[in-house]
Amino acid sequence: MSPSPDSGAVPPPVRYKVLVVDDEPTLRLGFSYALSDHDTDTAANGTEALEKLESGPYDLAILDLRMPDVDGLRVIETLRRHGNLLPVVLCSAVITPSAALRAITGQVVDFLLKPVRPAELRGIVRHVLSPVGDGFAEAMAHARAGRHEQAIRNLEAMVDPGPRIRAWLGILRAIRTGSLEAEAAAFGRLERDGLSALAYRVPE
Amino acid sequence: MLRTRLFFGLLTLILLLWGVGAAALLLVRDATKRYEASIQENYPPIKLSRGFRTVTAGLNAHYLPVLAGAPGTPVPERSKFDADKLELLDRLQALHGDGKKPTGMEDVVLRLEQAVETYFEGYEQLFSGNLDTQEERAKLLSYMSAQTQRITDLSDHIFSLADSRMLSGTVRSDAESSKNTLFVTTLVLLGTGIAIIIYYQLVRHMVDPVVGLRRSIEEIRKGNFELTLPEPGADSEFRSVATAFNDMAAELKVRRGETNERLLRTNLVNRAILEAIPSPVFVLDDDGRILQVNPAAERLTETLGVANRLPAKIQRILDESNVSGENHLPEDPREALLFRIEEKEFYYLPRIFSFASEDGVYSGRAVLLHNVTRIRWLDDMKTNLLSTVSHEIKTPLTGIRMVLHLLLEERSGGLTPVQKTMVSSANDDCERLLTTLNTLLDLSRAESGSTHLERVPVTLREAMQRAERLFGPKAAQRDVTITVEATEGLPEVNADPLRLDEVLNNLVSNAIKHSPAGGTVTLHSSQPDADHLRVSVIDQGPGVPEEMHNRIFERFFRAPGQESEGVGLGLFICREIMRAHEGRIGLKERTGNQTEFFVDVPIA
Repeated sequence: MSPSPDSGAVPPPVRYKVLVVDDEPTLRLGFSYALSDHDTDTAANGTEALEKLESGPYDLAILDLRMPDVDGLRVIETLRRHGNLLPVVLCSAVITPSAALRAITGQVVDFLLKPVRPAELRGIVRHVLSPVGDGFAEAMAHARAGRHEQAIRNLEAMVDPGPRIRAWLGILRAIRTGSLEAEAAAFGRLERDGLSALAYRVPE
Repeated sequence: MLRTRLFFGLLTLILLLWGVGAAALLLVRDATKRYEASIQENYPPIKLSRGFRTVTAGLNAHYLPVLAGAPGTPVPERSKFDADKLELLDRLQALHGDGKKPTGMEDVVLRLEQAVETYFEGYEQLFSGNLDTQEERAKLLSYMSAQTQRITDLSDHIFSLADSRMLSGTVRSDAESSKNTLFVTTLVLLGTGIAIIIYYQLVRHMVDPVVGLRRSIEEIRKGNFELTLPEPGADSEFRSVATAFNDMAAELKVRRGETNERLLRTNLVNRAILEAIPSPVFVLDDDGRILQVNPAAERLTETLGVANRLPAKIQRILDESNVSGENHLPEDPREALLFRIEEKEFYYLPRIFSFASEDGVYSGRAVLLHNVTRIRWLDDMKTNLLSTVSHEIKTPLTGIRMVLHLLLEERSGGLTPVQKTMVSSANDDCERLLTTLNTLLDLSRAESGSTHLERVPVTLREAMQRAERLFGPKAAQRDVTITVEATEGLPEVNADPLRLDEVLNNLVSNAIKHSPAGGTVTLHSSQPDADHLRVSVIDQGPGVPEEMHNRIFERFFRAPGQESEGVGLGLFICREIMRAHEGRIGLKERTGNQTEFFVDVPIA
């Protein structure tokens, strides 16, 4: 395989304030470097992340799922309880279906699968914060805002749905019906395929 | 022989019957004859003697009234007298002629002769005519009447003599006949005796054996094979029956012995099997009473403190399966029941199944507690491994990879060519490690996930086109063309689209990998049989060496000398997926310069 370094895309017009939360120092460092086009801050654990998010305004948080003490999901739930609707990217090596459903319920629809490439990291910031012009990104923006119906309509309208779009449609429809069976079915699908279909990929 | 005995016995009886009959006939004839003889013997004297009185009475009536009349009355003609005199003399002669005169008869006949002489003399006197006086007449008359009286007496005497002789003959024949009666009675008694003997013989030789046979049969029916029939003598027809019966009883006894032995052996084998089964096994009858438990079950119930009873949790499931009337045969270890034994957790999967004898008389249920603790543990381990590997390896790998990528991006400063080569090489290794890791994770998913297919109708053409689209760029890089030859009008297949894609992708990826530059990879659909559709992936590469055809679908198999990356799991995973689909995957014999892999997918 050839290395696919992101050879410096066009610098985004806006610098966003991004909080990187991970218990791995290397990753915090790497993420910060990769996102050097933005203002990055780091937190080593959930508690620290919550403190920083409470104190200052951020545009985006990149959250590790598995952390000692307060994990990513509990960070999300605490934030949402406090009425903070900050966009969050959940990043982990493996995300279980229950975690995914909890995240989606907490209006988090962006997942990054470790190992993350710098290009993906930069891509997802763009994907979340400036979705204009990308049909899928726009649809996911609706989903992120809790407008599942709109998201489904947008996704259905897309031509040539890949596995990612099909997976998202399935999940969102299951959540929309609100029935336990449908969620269980969606669960089953998630369990089988892991989260690879739901995770963000750099458009190739 | 009973037959001969019966024959002779009855023959004797018949002979006796004939004898009695013949004797009776003879006796009757003899008596008749004797009676006739007696009549013949005695009747003439009686008849003759009777004649004397009649004749004399006739004579007297004819002549004697003259004597009573006045003297001088003429005497009638003497011609009648002469005739009667002749007749009387004839009778006398006849009486003399009777040879077998009884004693005394001779004497009486002589006296009768004299009386008749004197009687004739009286009539001679009458005819002489010398009777003139009344006195002489009266004297002659009284003389005549005296003589007549005497003849009458004597003839009566003869009559009575003959009569008594006849009477004595009857008495004699009476004695004779009572003797005969005795004889007949004896014969009849003899016959009766013989009949009684025959009866007892019959009872002894026919009824007794039959009764004995019946009793023995009943005993055998009760299971007592010890009773044997006494063997009758060598000449009895029942001997063969008794022998056969005894043989049969002996045979049955042996058979039952064998059956018992077999039962014992079967029992032993069953016990051995039960004891060898490490899982607790309970065998219950229809009412749920425990018939048999194996040592493992004993140990389990003892440690649970419910010695030789079913634990309550299992009893509940048993009752449920009893109500539903179905076997309870869970496969999923997650349905296992938790038992805490000495601070440790054990998982038992209860398998309950009914059994019944072929005739349905005996039935019951068996409960087998399958210890799935280890399976659960392994399952947990696998899940843990998955997340552990994912997290513990992927997280640092992510850091390494991130750093390598960033270095290669040269944002923090340029790299010397040597540095760049080294970092690139490290990055390649990192990528390979990641691929291997992902494949391993896929494998564990494929192995556990074969039951989790989500099958829907799938159009093969679309699946083939997806693969074509996905690998188009990669093929182009290697100067390989992908063509799709989808046959028109094929039905849809029943498959999990994601899994099917995985298989096709793997095959196409391999085909591209092994294609020579400028080669073509062909995806071709067809219908090999009524139930399947086939996708063939054909390349023009060097193919798989003959001796490896059987092994390429094995886990971790890699063809020797193969330089491409990979851990040798791709085809294995494909096979697992196709197995889960009840489909097939295979490699065709090489034809021309083409290598053809195919998958057969069940039609929807």
